[in-house]
Amino acid sequence: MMKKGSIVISVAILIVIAISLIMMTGGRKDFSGNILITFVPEDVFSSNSDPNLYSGSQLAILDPQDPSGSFQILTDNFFAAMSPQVSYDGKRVLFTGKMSEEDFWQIFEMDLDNLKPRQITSRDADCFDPAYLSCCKIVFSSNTSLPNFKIGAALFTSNLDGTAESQITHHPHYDASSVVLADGKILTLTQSIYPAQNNGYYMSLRPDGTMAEMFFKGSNRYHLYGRALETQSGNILLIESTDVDRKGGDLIKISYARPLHSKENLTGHIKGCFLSISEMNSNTYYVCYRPGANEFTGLYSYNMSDNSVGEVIYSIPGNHIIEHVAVTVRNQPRQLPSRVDNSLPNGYFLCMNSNTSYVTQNEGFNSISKIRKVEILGLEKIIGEVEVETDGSFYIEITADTPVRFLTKGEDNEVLSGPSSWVWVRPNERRSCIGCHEDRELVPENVVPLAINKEPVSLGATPQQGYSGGH
Amino acid sequence: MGKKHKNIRNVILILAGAVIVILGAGYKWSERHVYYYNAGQPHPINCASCHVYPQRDGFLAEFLNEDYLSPVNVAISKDQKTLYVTAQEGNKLVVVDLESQTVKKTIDVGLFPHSILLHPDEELGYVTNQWSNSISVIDLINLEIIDTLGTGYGPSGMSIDQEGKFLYVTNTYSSNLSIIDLESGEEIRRLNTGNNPMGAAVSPDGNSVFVCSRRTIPIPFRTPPKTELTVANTKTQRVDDRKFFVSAHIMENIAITPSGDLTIVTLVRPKNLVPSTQIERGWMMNQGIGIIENNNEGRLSQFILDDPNAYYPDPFDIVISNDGKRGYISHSGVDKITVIDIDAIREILATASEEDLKLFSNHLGISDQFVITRISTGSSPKGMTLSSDGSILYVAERLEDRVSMTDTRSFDFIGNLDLGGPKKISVTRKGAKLFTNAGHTFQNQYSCYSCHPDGHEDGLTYDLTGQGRNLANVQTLRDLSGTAPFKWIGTNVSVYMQCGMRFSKFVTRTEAFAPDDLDAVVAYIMRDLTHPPNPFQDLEGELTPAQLRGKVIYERTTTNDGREIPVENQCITCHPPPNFTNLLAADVGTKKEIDDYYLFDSPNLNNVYESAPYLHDGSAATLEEIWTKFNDHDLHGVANDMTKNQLNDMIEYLKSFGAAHTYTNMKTKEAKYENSSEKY
Repeated sequence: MMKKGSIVISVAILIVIAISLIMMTGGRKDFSGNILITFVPEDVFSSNSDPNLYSGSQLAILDPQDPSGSFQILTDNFFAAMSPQVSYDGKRVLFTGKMSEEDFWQIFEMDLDNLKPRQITSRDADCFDPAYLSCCKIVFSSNTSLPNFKIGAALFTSNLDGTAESQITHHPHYDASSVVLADGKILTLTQSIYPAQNNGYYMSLRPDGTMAEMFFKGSNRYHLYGRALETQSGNILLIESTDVDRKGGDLIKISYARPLHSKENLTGHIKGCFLSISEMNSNTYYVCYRPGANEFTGLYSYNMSDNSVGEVIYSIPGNHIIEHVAVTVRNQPRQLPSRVDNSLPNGYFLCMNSNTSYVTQNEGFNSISKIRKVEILGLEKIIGEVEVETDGSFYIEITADTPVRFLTKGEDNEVLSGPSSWVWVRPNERRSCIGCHEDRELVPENVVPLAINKEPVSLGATPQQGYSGGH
Repeated sequence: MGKKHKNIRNVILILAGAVIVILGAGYKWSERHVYYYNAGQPHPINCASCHVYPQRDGFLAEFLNEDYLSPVNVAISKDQKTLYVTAQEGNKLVVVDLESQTVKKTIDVGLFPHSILLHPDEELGYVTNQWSNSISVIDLINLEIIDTLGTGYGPSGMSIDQEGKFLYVTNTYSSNLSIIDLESGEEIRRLNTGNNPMGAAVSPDGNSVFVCSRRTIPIPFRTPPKTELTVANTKTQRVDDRKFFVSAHIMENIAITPSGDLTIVTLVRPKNLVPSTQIERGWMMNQGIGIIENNNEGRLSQFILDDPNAYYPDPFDIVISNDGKRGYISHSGVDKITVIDIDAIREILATASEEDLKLFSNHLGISDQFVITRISTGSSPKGMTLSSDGSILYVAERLEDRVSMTDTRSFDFIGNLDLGGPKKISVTRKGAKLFTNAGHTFQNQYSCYSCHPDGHEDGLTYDLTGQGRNLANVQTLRDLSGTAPFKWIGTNVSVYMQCGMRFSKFVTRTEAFAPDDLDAVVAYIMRDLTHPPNPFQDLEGELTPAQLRGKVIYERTTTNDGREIPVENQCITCHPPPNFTNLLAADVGTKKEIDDYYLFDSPNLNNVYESAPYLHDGSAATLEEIWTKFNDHDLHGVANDMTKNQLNDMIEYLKSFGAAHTYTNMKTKEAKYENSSEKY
């Protein structure tokens, strides 16, 4: 009798423990090693003109070891969802989505433990291409209005709960497809919209919007496409195409150490085109690949050792898998400190020697005709003009978060070069350059620029007391 | 409950309440205390962080720390069977049997041994003892010291002629080169070199000895550094030429190709004059090599070893393969070896104009044309040597207490030679690794060591605000204990604050040290960084006649014509021993138009002789200029009534200021001079 009672009690205890464990874990599935995909129907894929936003897109997750058995749509109650990015602990997903056709695209986060989405942004504009920054913040793109009724997109950051939203890029560009590099900087695909459109290039910038500069640019006949991938070995993989409508292209590898001059086409010998690449670990890669123009884009394995496409992992009849990302744990990127002070209205720009110019690779280092003045142009007006010092330097104070371009003039007020690309300074940012159109691999000469010995020339800036920082 | 039990209960409750109040209040106090010393940055409350780890003496310091070897240079026997390693902090020469890959013997040598050089006949070896001002002569057969040779101050690098007759020894602290006749063991000549010389190399034809230096020569304020490479004639034993690498310094070591066509030095190219508005794209510091084309009229050039987004700070040693085609450079700041194709450099030089060379010295893409690969190492790779066939590269890994071996054909790691140092990594050892590694700077552009080589300062002034204002003369980190506050305006109450969040914002431009790492770095700085012996200081307290006269001037209370000098304007008031600072800020009339402050923290003057330039902004190139150029109104001590001889003598006395610990026992010695009749 007592023995039976002991057995019953033991079994009951075990049942209670099991139930507790199930309740604690919620019967949750572990998705590490899985792949998140975005798929769109063929008709949507063919007719869509915006490579960043596809109506009718959906997010799904699958285990590459058992894709058919594990395939699961995660956003079937969304009108559209895409652009997944996985958190560094591998437990959450950021994506852009809309609940109905009339809604703006907003940023959502889904906990992979319970697959419940949570809306982060609530802007009156499309928000898309989110990425996790370190320290509980995100970066995303959102549409902005530009002159001449053009629509651009700027980068914004916010906390994961949607608070502390801040616009960090301030130029008439379309900034999208952001990823965060291990060094803490954001790498984003940017394309000038106003006054003219260009092919776009990858720009790197700090998460506070300072130090924005070109990271990689293809030659003029190439179009860059989608998010770049920084591999564990310190290379950057991206997609480049000669055809803007091709919706995909070749896989390109550049080195992080020297991005402007290390380009290697990995798949030029492969028929078909690639839309995205992910790294599960240093030996395992996957690609979204379309073998032919009339075929569907599927998820394939990729052999990095011999640059060949492996077996198809998954395809969805009548649909294109246009994006994917690996669910894996990654190192947090560096958390970069910020010197931006939003209480200050202005920023500063210093040029070491405006006469330094690198005209073409073949012609080499060259001093162009002596520059006497630099004109600063805003979006729709001339902001001001500054005379350069005898050593070519100039130092100006301008309103922060305002896009500007530079135009150089000679002795007789003739235009020597420019306008330059758009730049901006964030509040309290001190931005510098070596010269005008200088070789981007040049470092400054170790000299004191004459302009720094005087107060900066204020060009339409709000008067403020000088800031003194230091170590 | 009985009355007795009630009383006991009440006492217990009161005691418990008192403990809670004390702990609670104590905890609150501790929070405020930590908050204050960390400038408000989060830091766990851990008394050991500040009060235990940085201790130099006592039981706890002994218990927590280890006696590491810290290998710095290596040499290999011709038969490839024996490796000799100088263990800098262990004060030893470690002899390794390469066949069994075990330590054969350790030999106690002098203090802080730097280099090991084998005589061509390999019967003798020579070890420079940097802090003993001597060379230990080692019998390589019996592995014992058989003689000690005298040198100048701070002997470090060495080279020897092919016949083995003369030894050339750089004296880092006295900035000269000793020429030692090995037959007599006597120093026969001492030649002035550049400032803080380190590496030496005799040319393959035996006619010249090249000496590279680390610090700039005195230069006009706000001009680029100029660091000397001295060329001496071995026949005449005189200096033939002084070459200067402009905008470069910290030339640690030197090597010459076997054909003699190229002399190559490691160097750093600081951007100290450029407003520090950014770190990206090499705006703060670059590292590279300097080259002398010996067959092209000695033309100088500099090539950056960095990449646009990846930097290789603190280049230390360079070795060249026997065929002259490859070079290996150790970078202690990123734990890497750069392998360079010297033939590719020759090709570049063959067609490069002066304008091209100017471009290359500032171009981050040039390295792509001659860098073959980068090899990863353990912590702080320093001196290297190649096996005779060039197939194995031996690298002293200073903070691992080992020597690594790499196959130079495949660049594969072969193995490590354990030198027998402690295996436990103490907090301060961890701090040393963090201090010398650039991992806490954006894109690894520079480490703490880069501006504070050997824990000292690099002799430069930087524009860290990026505004051309409030320039900062780099200060030494040696013997900081008890000298808070820090920073020229004295606003940093602790080294934690100095190396904390503001440091990451303005200097490293990446995430700040985590609390544990910050503890380790601070412990290392406070405990391990100390001044080397001062060549101008007699440790028995004896002063030279000039120093003694200078001491009288330093401590005077009246001017030459009998006027009373106010107490606050007497030298000894603001600069008393042992650290020669009263830890207070003062207006010494040195504020410039570009300064927003006029009160400057009195700096400690230990080993001030080797801290040029001077003043908060480095505007005084020499000690003399402090009073001849920047003291018009006698605010920095009353000096305008002095004769030139008096000023000279006072400066001689200042130069004798050694490390703080050398003064703790000197008080009785000083009393001997109080009644000296020496005066003007």
